Amino acid sequence: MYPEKVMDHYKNPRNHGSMKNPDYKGDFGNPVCGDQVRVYLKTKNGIVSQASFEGEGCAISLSAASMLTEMVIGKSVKDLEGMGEDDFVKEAFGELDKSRRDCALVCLKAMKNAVNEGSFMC
Amino acid sequence: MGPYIMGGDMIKKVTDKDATWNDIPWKFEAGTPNIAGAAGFSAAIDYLNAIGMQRIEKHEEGLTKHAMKRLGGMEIYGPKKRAAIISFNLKSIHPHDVAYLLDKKGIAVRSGHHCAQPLMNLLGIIGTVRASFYLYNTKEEIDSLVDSLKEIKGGL
Repeated sequence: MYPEKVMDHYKNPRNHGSMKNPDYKGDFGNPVCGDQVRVYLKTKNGIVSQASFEGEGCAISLSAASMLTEMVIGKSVKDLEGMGEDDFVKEAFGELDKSRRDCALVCLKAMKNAVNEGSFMC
Repeated sequence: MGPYIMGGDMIKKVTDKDATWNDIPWKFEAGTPNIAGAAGFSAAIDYLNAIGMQRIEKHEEGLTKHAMKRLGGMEIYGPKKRAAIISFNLKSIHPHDVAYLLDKKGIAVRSGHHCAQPLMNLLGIIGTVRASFYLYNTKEEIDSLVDSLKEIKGGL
């Protein structure tokens, strides 16, 4: 099976669900596999105070989204803009097969869409 | 009609002003032909003829019947009578997870929408896992597939 950390986040996702009045909201989907993730962020003075996600996908994409929401809390929006794909995958999974990299990146791309599109009404 | 691709053998005469094309088929077969492919094709035909198509069909039928029986607990798509190819899902487990975990056990299947997104929409699913069997597969391998699926179902 998958590593313990992945299974834990897949079975008990953190910060799962929609958010009322988020400051940022972003979607990303991978039509090839049907994965779809939406990330919500709430900020205070430019620092992420709350994060949540919803969506559907495989164990890698959903556990990645759960881990991402934990990682971003306390970070500045500027930090999020600069968050690299390699760094995210490494921090979340350590080692990850190349074939599953796109799964892991669905949530990161949703988060990037959120911060790049800026604050907007939902 | 002119050549659709440039390369050796598709011309007859070339000047600095114009060119005339070779006759068919050479005009459309520019460059080095797929010699290894033709030799491989010939060997494959000899191999299959030596075994006999009826024996191959019977073997495939036997494997499919065995697999359909053993995969009973899974969500299976398509008619009961079928060729040696079976699309299925383990309820609530993403097909890519199933395929990936099977791969880790040395079992190769395909997963996803199989270039048939409208059909997946009609079935209300994101994709399926698809196993296929052939001449070189055995009943024991199907049993091993089913055992692995049970393990994945229990673990995820």
